[in-house]
Amino acid sequence: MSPRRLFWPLHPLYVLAPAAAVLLVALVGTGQMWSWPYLHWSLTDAQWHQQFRLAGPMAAAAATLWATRLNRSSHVWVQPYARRLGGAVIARHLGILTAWYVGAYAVGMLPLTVLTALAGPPGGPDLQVIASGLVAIAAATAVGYAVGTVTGSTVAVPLVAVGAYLLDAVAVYGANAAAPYVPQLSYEPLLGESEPLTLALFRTVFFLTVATACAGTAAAFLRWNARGRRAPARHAAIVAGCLMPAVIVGVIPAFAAAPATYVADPAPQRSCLTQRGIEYCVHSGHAARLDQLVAAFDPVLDRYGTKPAAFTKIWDQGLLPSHPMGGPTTNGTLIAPLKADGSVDTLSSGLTATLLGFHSCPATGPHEDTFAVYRGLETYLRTGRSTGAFANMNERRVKQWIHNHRAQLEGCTLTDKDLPST
Amino acid sequence: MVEVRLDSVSFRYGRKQVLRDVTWCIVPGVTGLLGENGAGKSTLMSILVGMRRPRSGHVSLGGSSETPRVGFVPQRFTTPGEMRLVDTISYAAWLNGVDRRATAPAAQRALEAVDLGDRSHERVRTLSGGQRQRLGVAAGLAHDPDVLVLDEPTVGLDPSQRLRVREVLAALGGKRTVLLSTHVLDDVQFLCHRVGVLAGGTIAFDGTVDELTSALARPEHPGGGLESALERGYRTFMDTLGDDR
Repeated sequence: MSPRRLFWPLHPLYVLAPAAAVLLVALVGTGQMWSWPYLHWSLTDAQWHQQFRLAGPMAAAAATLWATRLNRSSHVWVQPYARRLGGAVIARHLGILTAWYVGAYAVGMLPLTVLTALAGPPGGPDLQVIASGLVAIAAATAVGYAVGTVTGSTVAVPLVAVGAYLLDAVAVYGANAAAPYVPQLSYEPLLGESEPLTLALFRTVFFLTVATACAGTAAAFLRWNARGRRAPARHAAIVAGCLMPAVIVGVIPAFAAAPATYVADPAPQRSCLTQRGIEYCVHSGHAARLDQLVAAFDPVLDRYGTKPAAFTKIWDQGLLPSHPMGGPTTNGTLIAPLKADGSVDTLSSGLTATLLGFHSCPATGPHEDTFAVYRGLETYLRTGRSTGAFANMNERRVKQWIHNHRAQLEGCTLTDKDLPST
Repeated sequence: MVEVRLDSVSFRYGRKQVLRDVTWCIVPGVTGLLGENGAGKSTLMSILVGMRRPRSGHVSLGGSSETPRVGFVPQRFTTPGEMRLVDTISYAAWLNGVDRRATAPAAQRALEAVDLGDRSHERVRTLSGGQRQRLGVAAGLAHDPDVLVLDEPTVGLDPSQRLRVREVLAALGGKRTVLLSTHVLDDVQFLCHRVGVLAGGTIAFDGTVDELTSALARPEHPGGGLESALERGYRTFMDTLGDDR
C-alpha cells in the first residue's frame, strides 16, 4: 500500500503536521506528571479528557482547514452526478482525520498511562472514561470538518480553534452543569474519587452523537452544494434525523439535573495512627504516605505546644473528597490534600489558620492592632523561627505565650494589650 | 452511446422566464449550444447536469448504458493549488465512482488526453490559465463519462490553447455525447457535428453546422468580408428571429 493512501488526496502535511501538534501537546500536557510518585488511576484516566484543552482545538482547526481545501463549492469535482459526493466522501475524510488525530492523541497519552500502570496503584484504567476522551477528539474533528464544509472559508480555521479553546472556560464556569457536554471537566479527581459510569457513558454517547450529526450535516451540505444548494426534503430529513438525537440526548437532560462530576468511594479503607492526641488517617491507596502526613503536620502541632480544641483528626482528603478544605469539619476533622506529585498541602488544609483561631474572627479578620502577632505566630508555626513580635522569644516562651492566650486566639478576641511586647 | 433528451423543460428566475417548453434531443457526437448572453445556456446546462431542477418538464439520459455517467466542466471552477495534477484528477474520478485503485491510471489517461500527462506530478498552481482549463476537462472525463457537458470551455484562452482544447474535445466526441456551450463560432465550426441555438427561451435551431452555415446564410448580408460563413449564417438566423427573441 502506498503511504500516500494514508493521506490522499491532500498533501501529507495537512494531516501529519496537526497530528504531530496533537501528539506534542498531549505529551507536554502530561509530561510533568511522568515523575509524580503517587499517580492514581482516576487522575490518569481524567487526563484522557483534560488534555482536550489544546489538542481538541488543534484537531478541530486542522479538520476545518482540510474541509475548506477539498469541499469548497466552486471546486471542479463538486458536481451533482458525483456518486461519492456525500456520505462516502465524509467517511473517507473523517476516517483519515479521525484516525490520525485520535491516534496521535492516544499515543501522546500512553506514556502517562504506562507509567501509572508501572507505579501499580490499586484498581485499573477506566476504559469508559478513556473512551469519552478519545470520542471527544473525534467529535472536535467532526465539528471542525462540518464548519469548514459549510463555510468553505479558511477564515473559519482560527475561529474554530478559538471557539474550541473557549470550551475550557465553559468547563470551569459551568462546573457540574457543563460536565456532560464539555470534554474537559472543571477539576481533576483525587484519590478516592471516580467519574461516575453514567456520566462517562453519557459523555461518550453525546460526543458520538455530535460527531455523527456533524458528519451528516457536512454530507448533506456537500450534496446541496453540488446541486446548486437545492435542499431536497429527503436530505433535510436526514440532517434533522441526525440532529434530533443530539438534541434529545444532549439538551433535554440538561433541564433535569446536573450530575456529580466525580463520586467518592462511600466506604474507603483507611490506615490510621494517633500522635499527640491527633488521629491521622489516609486512604488505603495512600497507606505508604501515612508517615509523610504525620511528618507534615506534627511539627506544627509540636510548635503549637498544646492540644488544639478545634480538631482531633487530620485525614487524607481522599477519605473525605467532597468536604471543603481550609478548616475543620463539623466533627473536628482537618482535611489534608496528599498530592500525586508527592507534596502535602498543609496550607490548603487551613492548619495554621485554625490554630490561630481565624475561623472565629469576623469577615474583616482579627483586630488590626494584632496583625503583627498573627504574622509572627504564623511564621513561627510554619517554620519554627521567631520573628516580628516574637523575635526576642525562644520556642519555650512562645509556646508559653500561646498556652496563656489560647482562649483569646480561639475566640478571636486578642487585643493590643495581649501583645508580647507590652 | 447515450442520447440526452429534454422534454418540455421550463425554468424561470423569479418572474423572468428563461426556458420555455424546451424539447431537444442531443445525440452522440459533439453538439454545440449557441445563444446570446443571457439566453439561458448556462441555465440549460445546469438543468442537464442536475444542478437545477426545471419548473416543468424533465431531462432523461438514455441509451445502451444503464446508468449513464455524466461529466461536467463548469465555466468557472477552482482546484486547490497545492494538489498534484494526478491527485486532483484521481480524486475527481474517485468521487465519480471509479474504484480507488483504478483512479491513478484513469487520471493519467485523462491527463494524457488533455496533453498534461507529462506534468501529472506537478502542482496545480504551476499551470497557466489554458492548462487549468484542460485540467478541468480532464476532471470531467477521468471517469470515462457517457455524457460530457462543457460550459464555455475555451473562454479566456489564447489561440494556441484554444486549438489544443479543441483537439481534445474533437477526440472525445467520437465515442461520447458531448455538449458544449460557447460564444466562439470557430469552436462550433471545427468541433461540432450538430448545433442548437437557444433564443427566446427555446431551441430555435437544431441542425448540423452546415445547415446553419449554408441554408440560412445570405451572401449579400453586410459583413465586409470580415465574417466566416458560419458567423454570417448564425447572425442571419438570429436576425430572422427578430423581436421573437
